[in-house]
Amino acid sequence: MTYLPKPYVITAVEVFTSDVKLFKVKCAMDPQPGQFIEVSVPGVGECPLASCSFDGKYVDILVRNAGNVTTALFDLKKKDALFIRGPYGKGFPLAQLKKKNLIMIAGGTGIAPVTSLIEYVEKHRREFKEVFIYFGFRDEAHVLLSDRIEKWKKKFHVHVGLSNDVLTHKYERGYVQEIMEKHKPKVEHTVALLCGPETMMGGVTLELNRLGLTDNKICWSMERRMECGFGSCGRCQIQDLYVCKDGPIFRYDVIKPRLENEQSSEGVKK
Amino acid sequence: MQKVLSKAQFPSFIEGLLKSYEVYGPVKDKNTKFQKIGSSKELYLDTVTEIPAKNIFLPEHEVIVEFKGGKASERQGDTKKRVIFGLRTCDLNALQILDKVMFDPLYLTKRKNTVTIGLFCEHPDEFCFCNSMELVNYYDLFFYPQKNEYYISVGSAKGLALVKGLPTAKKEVKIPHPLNTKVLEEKNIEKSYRNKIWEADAEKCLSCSACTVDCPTCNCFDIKDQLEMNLKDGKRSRCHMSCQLKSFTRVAGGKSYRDARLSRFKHFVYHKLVYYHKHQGRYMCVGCGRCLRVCPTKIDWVKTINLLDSMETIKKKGGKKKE
Amino acid sequence: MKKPRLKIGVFGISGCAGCLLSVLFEDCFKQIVRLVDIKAFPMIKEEGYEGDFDYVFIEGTVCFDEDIMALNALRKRAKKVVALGSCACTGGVPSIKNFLDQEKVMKLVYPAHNHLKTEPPTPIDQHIKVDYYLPQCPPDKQEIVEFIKCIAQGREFKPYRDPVCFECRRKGNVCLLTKNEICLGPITNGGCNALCPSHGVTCYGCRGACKDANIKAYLAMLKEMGYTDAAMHDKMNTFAGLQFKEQEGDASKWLEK
Repeated sequence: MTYLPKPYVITAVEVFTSDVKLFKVKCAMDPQPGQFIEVSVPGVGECPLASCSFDGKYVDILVRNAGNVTTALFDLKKKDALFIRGPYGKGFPLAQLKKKNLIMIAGGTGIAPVTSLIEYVEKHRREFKEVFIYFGFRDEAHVLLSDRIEKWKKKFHVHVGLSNDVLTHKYERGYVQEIMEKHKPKVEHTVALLCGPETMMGGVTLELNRLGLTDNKICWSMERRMECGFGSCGRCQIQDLYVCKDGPIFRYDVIKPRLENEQSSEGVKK
Repeated sequence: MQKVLSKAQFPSFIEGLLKSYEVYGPVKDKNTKFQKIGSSKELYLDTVTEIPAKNIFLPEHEVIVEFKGGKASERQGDTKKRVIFGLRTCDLNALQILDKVMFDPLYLTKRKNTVTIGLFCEHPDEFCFCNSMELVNYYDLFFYPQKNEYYISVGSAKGLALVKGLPTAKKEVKIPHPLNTKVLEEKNIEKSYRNKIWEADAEKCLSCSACTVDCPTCNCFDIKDQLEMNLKDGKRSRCHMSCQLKSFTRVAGGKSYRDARLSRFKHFVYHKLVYYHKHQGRYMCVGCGRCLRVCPTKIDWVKTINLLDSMETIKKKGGKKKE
Repeated sequence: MKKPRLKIGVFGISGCAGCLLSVLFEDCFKQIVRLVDIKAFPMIKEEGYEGDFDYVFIEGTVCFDEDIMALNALRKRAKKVVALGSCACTGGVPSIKNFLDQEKVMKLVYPAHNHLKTEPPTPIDQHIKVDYYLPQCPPDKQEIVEFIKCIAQGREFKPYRDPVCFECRRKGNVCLLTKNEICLGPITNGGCNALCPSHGVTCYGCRGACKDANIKAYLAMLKEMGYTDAAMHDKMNTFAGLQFKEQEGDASKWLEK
């Protein structure tokens, strides 16, 4: 295992909102859908990001400006180099998804790892059954990858919900779980894959349970602080599980008791 | 196989090592620690050191990657031939535990080029509970002192090379366990995560991180960048980090996943006794007692665990009576 | 990067000018001027610059009305204000006065100047908005340079928020608490690389109260060590008494619940 990142050239930068950009990087990496990479800026630091989509020649990285490293990334332009090492993590449990109906739910930049899976399904369409996709965004201006969403609408059941109460012609109004209630997915022989803030995934999971999908058919994509990426630094542990090497995608029945345990001590004042 | 070295010849044995190796051993300065020595006279072998041997392999701060002119280069580990003398069974086991979680070239190269020489622990103190931690024999050489000589157990070819010239013991001596007064009782700790008993310890905790810094198996680290004045180049280093600090789990945006002192405190204990065990099939704790020794508010989680069990037993007994 | 060079001002209000001096040390000043333009620095050059600043560094405690006027004027000219040094961040040594009889202090310190009208000493963030804090007495030159690098690159400066103990233990120092001395390490913000404890001197809290400090447990520990309330508080009031008091208030409120 190495900490050595390699420089790759940015071939295009797409600006979505004031705080989200998509970097297209010339890079022959071929990760599994759902795996993540460590992107870094010299002298500033590293941050773990989901590889959004890739084809063996290019990797797309969706970046939300949230911290120090992402701020520095935002200064980079076409033809600049950024440093990458990876991929790390296990990615989506593809073997268990085959010959099943899929429900994919993402909020905000959580769309990144889900995109990698959708593109995998597109390439191997016959191996999967029906695909239901639900995206949640704040408002129309915050919709990410809208071109791809339109493209996917032709192939899968795609529904986009906007949580802010604004008028929209293109999309629907409401939280993802509400949109899902309106357009119910199939739940027999189905696996659901969630990515977004934990509160959002919690709400969606309750709704999925109500529709009849049990916890062991639901996967959460977790976010934690990571430094090394391969189970050494100990920063991303959720109890005994390392988000970096055992995840970042976990079956909900596996991660749930651990999250609940940790949260049980959070309630108690320091 | 055991070799024999008379105590009178011990200094010349160390001097011999010094000719071809960088020798580290426990010394007493302001506090006791493992340090490079120049002569056997510097060694201090009476007690377990305050500062563990992990610092030789995982320095407090170490450059891992350098960026210059748009290129990155990785630092390779130190290939100097080293011998560490005077490691207790707890220290040796701690190294074995670290070997399973450290995978980078810096650490691995240093480990590969180091010969570990253990020393039987003659004077454990009231904080030692190594016998409760299922320690194993893991050494290149292990010194067991008798009246006038050391019986040296050989654990590897690397070790054997150092004692080839010494006579082989006619009769092997069995090495006993060190004396312990403290015991960590075997309990179902995993199920007691939500037990209120932990709150008393967490309330006393200052989150000063002394327990983790002085723990011989705490390896958690931070990767930090240092920017050069041209604002383009930089150095990336690996530094010690502690799970007792809020910044340990802080992500971009400011959220700490283990914000409460209680969950940080429990993470330390549970990582040592439960989490690591699930991956590696052994405890991460070696029972050296350093965390108890250095705690400014004298938190004794070993006592807490022992207490926890009896409380559960009492509850069960009470229940039975009612029936 | 083609970012325009930032315009910096370095000013002081009531204080000893030690923090301004630490900016001027060769290893610090030479580095800073490579990255930013120092437009005003009254300590070394009379003020001739009338324009606005991107960043203004302010040293000192608010002790007079004039200080408040000066602060307000600077705030208007600055996009961001940086509190430089313990006095500006936490009230520093002058803030001890808050815990004493004000009249007695006046008579003791200025027996011949009864006309002086002073305010209770307060950190500058009680009067104006402060964006960044660079505490310590005097501030760490290296930290000032790091701060300048950060802003020159357009990044957000992340303050160090862990206790002094962490850095101190990492350096392998002997814990001064075990020598039965009152060391404020466990409740003070680090970032100083445990400068004082590394030289055998206890921590005086000059980087301010650590947000995560367990003051209740800390005081209980000192009591067990045999210290009186007065002794503990005298020590805590040296640099950051106001901050510790605030946090202790929180701790006792929690006790009531």
